[in-house]
Amino acid sequence: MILASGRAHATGRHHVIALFGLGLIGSALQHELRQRLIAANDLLPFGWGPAAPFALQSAAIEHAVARQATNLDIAGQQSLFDCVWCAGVGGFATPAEAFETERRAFGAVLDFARRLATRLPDSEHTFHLLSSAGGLFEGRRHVSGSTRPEPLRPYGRIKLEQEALTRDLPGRINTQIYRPTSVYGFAPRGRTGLVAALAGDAIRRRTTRIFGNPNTIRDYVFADDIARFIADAVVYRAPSATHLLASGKPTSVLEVVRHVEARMQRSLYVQFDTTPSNARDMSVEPGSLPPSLRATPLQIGIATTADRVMRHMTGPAPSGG
Amino acid sequence: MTIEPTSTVITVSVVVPVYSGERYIEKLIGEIEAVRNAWAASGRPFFLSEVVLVDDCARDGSPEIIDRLAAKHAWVTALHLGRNSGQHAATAAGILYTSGDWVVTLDEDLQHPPSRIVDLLRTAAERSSDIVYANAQGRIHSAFRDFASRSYKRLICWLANSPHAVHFNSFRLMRGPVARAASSVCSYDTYFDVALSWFTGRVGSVEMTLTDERFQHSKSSGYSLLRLLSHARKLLFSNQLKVLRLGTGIGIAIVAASALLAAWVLLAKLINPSVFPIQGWTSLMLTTMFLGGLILLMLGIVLEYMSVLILRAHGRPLYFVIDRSSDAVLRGHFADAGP
Repeated sequence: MILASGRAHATGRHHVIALFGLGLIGSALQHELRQRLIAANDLLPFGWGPAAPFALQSAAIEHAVARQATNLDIAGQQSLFDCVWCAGVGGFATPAEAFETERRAFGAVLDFARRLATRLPDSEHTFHLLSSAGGLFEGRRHVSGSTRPEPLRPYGRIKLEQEALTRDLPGRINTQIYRPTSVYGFAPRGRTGLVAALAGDAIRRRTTRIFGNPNTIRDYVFADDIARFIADAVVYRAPSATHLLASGKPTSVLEVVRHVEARMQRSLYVQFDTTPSNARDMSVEPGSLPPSLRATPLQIGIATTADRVMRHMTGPAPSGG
Repeated sequence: MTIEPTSTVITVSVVVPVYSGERYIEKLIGEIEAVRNAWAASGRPFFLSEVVLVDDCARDGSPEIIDRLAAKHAWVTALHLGRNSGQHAATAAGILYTSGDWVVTLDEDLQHPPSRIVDLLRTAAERSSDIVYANAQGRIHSAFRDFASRSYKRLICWLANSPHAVHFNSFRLMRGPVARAASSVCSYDTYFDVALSWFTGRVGSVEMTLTDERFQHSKSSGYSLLRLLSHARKLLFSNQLKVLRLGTGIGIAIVAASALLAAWVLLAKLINPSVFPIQGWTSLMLTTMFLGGLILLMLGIVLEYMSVLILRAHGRPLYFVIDRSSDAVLRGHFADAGP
């Protein structure tokens, strides 16, 4: 996890942010926060293994946060504390028992947020949870803010459970719950999304196995857009809310493949499952999206992701001259 | 009125490209809403879930009306294109914003009645078609334009070996995955209906009388002559034409004929050296015929290669898998509902 602290360029207020999970969204958020804060980042351990000492780890993080807050208090400034959970071990196909570790880790982080709220009563506290619209609304089309979640798998059920636990936090902790649809982008660590996998396999001339079919419809949203939205919530503060984060554009897998192919300028080798485990369509009503979420057009998001994958795999392009 | 689709219902999306429709769009949306409500009220197994209005850089006040309609109805989506891209590009753009099991495209000017969508759906279900066109009966535009349009489509049918070209019409019902796949592969110069035909051969049509209200009122159509010619050019060049193969065939025939003729000329010269009185005629004739045939053959091969490359650039797929399993629900419904 990352512990970032510093003054926001836009508001001049001091923030202490504990960011759990440095996957696709976590690393995009870290990058976004770096641009928004005059900040110092500390990388603190927060292990996931079955025998991970959660109590010990969260105590160390709590101590580090308190130290940051005390420094600010001495300087006579009120601190804003944000705890962001964008971690997770599983995906759509993960069985229920595999989520036990995540359940324990999430519980430890919630306890940590509660203890900090008690220990630093003068600070403003916000807990941010990255849930999943894909998990909550799998197989549903025209999802809107008023659609009731009906998860079909353990992955969606644990997300719903985490949302309920977050809403149960003491009233003085503001809660922001984000429900992104199919997130794409590139991160050197964590799970690889469809676009990054296609771009990476195109470079390696490998076949990409897709657990859907070419006509499966999803709403692909760029990780940078999600990160920008969360960073806004961190910097500008807002009342507790649940946000559906999507592009509002239903997109078939085939369309994604075509865009990646066009960007990589080569044919992609793809393999679709004959009995796809993850082929249900999902789409979102554009009118139900937050107006401040400025979704990057798919072609641009895909081109950016493909370029990042290329840079990562082939190294920086040689400079001219 | 708020209507929510259930997860099992078959959904229909409507796409309307708009270029100069300020007089018609509100009325059109009113008609679509009436159809949507009637379907929901009568408990049909299909549901009109969304309408995508594509502002193709409209030349009148349509964009504001589109935005107003999208703000008023959650099921209406407004899409604004950066420049005037043409009807087919706007249609493809709109289709890529749909998620329905079926997609219907309509013109902005009320010439395609939304109440007839159900007839297209019935035909699709009964014949397991993936695309159903409205087969316009009677006079739509001027007699000359209707005649020229039909004749040109017939010519394309013959030239391109495309029996469905004669039905091409912008009032069409398409299976959602087929429509989205075709829209995904469409490039700048691809004729949208030709792209559709790469994904399925199951094309049906329903005869219906269509009238162009705009033409009836103003005697002008949304298309200028230049636009119609550009449309015709696209239709021609999106297809793999017979003439290209014809060129290769003629080349092969001439090479073969020149070989036969060469054998005969050579034999005649050997048997009777004075048969051709002009010195050098034999060799000149043989060389000309052989090289002419060879050049034509090579040109045919080059054209054939080019047409393969062009079709690849247009995005023609090797194959496409279609799931028609939900048709049984529609067939059952229409069988119960009667004719």
